[in-house]
Amino acid sequence: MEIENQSNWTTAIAKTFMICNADEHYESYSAREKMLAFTFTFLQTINTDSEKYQLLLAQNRLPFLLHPSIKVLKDEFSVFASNLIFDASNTGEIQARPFISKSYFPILWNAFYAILIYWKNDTSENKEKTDVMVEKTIHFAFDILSPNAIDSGIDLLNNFIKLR
Amino acid sequence: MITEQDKLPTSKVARASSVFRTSMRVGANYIKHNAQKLVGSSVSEDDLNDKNAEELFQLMSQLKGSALKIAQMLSMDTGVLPKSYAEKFALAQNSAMALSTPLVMNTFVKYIGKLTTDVFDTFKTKAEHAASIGQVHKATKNGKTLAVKLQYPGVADSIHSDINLVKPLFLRFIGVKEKEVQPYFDEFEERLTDECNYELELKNGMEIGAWSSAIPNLIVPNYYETLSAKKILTMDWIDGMPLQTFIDTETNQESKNRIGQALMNFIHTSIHEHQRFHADLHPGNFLVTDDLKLVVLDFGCVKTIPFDFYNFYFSLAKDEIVNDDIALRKCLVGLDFLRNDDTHETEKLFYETALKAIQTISKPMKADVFNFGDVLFHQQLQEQGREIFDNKEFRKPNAMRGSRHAIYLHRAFFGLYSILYKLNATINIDRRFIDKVQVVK
Repeated sequence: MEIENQSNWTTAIAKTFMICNADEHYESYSAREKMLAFTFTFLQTINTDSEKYQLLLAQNRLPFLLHPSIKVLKDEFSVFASNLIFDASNTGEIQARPFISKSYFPILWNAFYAILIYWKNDTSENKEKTDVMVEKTIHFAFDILSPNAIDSGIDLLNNFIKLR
Repeated sequence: MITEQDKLPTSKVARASSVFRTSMRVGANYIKHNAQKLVGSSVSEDDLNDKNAEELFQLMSQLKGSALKIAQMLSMDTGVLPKSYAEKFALAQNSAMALSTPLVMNTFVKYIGKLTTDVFDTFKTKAEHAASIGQVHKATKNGKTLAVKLQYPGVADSIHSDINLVKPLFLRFIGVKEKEVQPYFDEFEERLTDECNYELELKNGMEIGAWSSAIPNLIVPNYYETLSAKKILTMDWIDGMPLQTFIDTETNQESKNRIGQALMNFIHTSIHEHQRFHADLHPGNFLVTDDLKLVVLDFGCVKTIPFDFYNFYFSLAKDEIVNDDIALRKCLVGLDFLRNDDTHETEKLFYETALKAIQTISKPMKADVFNFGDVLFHQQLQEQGREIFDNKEFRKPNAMRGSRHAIYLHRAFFGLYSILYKLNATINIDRRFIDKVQVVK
């Protein structure tokens, strides 16, 4: 049973990667859009057998203790997310910050996982409410990661100290 | 032009709190007003209304999606807000949210089952226009340029809660009881739900397109059924300038008359021959092509009126009815302007107001040629709305009158007349329509 659970998530993620990479637009997307596309595609994939995946998600009853099968999903997701964070840090879309850069993956994972939980409970037609949630959650997560006023504030402060 | 989606107060909590803030402020204005009255300083009711209108506008312009649509309808149809605000609302349509490219793709896969690249030869992922409930993309297929309209997810579901958010504030503002206006809110909700139903819009567009192809200088774009779905609507892309730009820049009066005439023929044919009309007549829904043809866009708001309502209503445009007291009364009761249990005073009031309003609206129908640029006529039309709104008698219980079908008919006529006024158009009136009305006796 356990092994079957794992392979379920693994196939879903593998299929998602395949669809994304086959899309001609995907490479030209920004990191934010890649995350959106990845999430939408993933949801599409698990939508084809939604009952099974809803049951799999329901196995996880304790919020801070991941069920082994969800752990597998997290590991699979980390392959995608780590690459995304690495590339986006290079292009400057995500601000590399000392000490806290380590928490970037947890932010993306929690956004992704929160969407899955919402999807599980979504009863709207065609799971339309989840689509809205995806956009808002991912925008929020990326707004935290992207350069913002605090970064330019620190930069300014830094400059003051240097020039003094 | 298009702002990002995450900046909008779309969550219900955010919306609820902004509604709450404004109701607090409207309440505060009333307290301030009454306190000033108590100490004897002279304040006019006008001051209060202006202040509240400002607050109401501030609130409504923060809302997007269906709440904005409701705000637009309420402000334009009821004359609650001063004209300048109503105009601002009409423009507010153009500053809605933008969907991310992945969501656009997702919508296609979900509703058509294919990627945009498989459906079209080319597809521009950046939206060309945004409106309150959707956005428009440009695409090509088999050498034809197409406009593809996508609806924002979640819009249809939020209509009911949006109406319930705006309602209490609106009731407070005009000072009427909920029970009195419920039928009107039901009507708004029904039309908004229709507007989110692209399958219905496709049907409307194809149907109206078929019967209006005979009207000169008028274009209704072709709709493509196989490329459309519940949240996706595909039609011909037609190049042209927005009607408002045409109004502002065109100097040749004959060209303006030609456009006005096309619009008038379109509306009259719809109302009189089919009792089914485009009920969202503002300049944003029309284009003018280079060879001076009027393009009608957006069949999301199409209203069908029952045939007996139609006959009651347009009987009033005939002199033989207006001069016959008994027949006139019967029509007004049929239209729910008068009720059989009215006291003598209320009856007199409603009788006079309704008669005056209908006479103004039907004035152009009695002429052969009518100049809609006539400032006097336009003022008359405006003043009547204001008069009804200012008269305290109309805020008493039992005072919301008129069949709910009348809202959209009035809306269409006000829209039509105000566009024709802006065009300063002189129009030939086809009187056969009115002559054909079956008089109710």
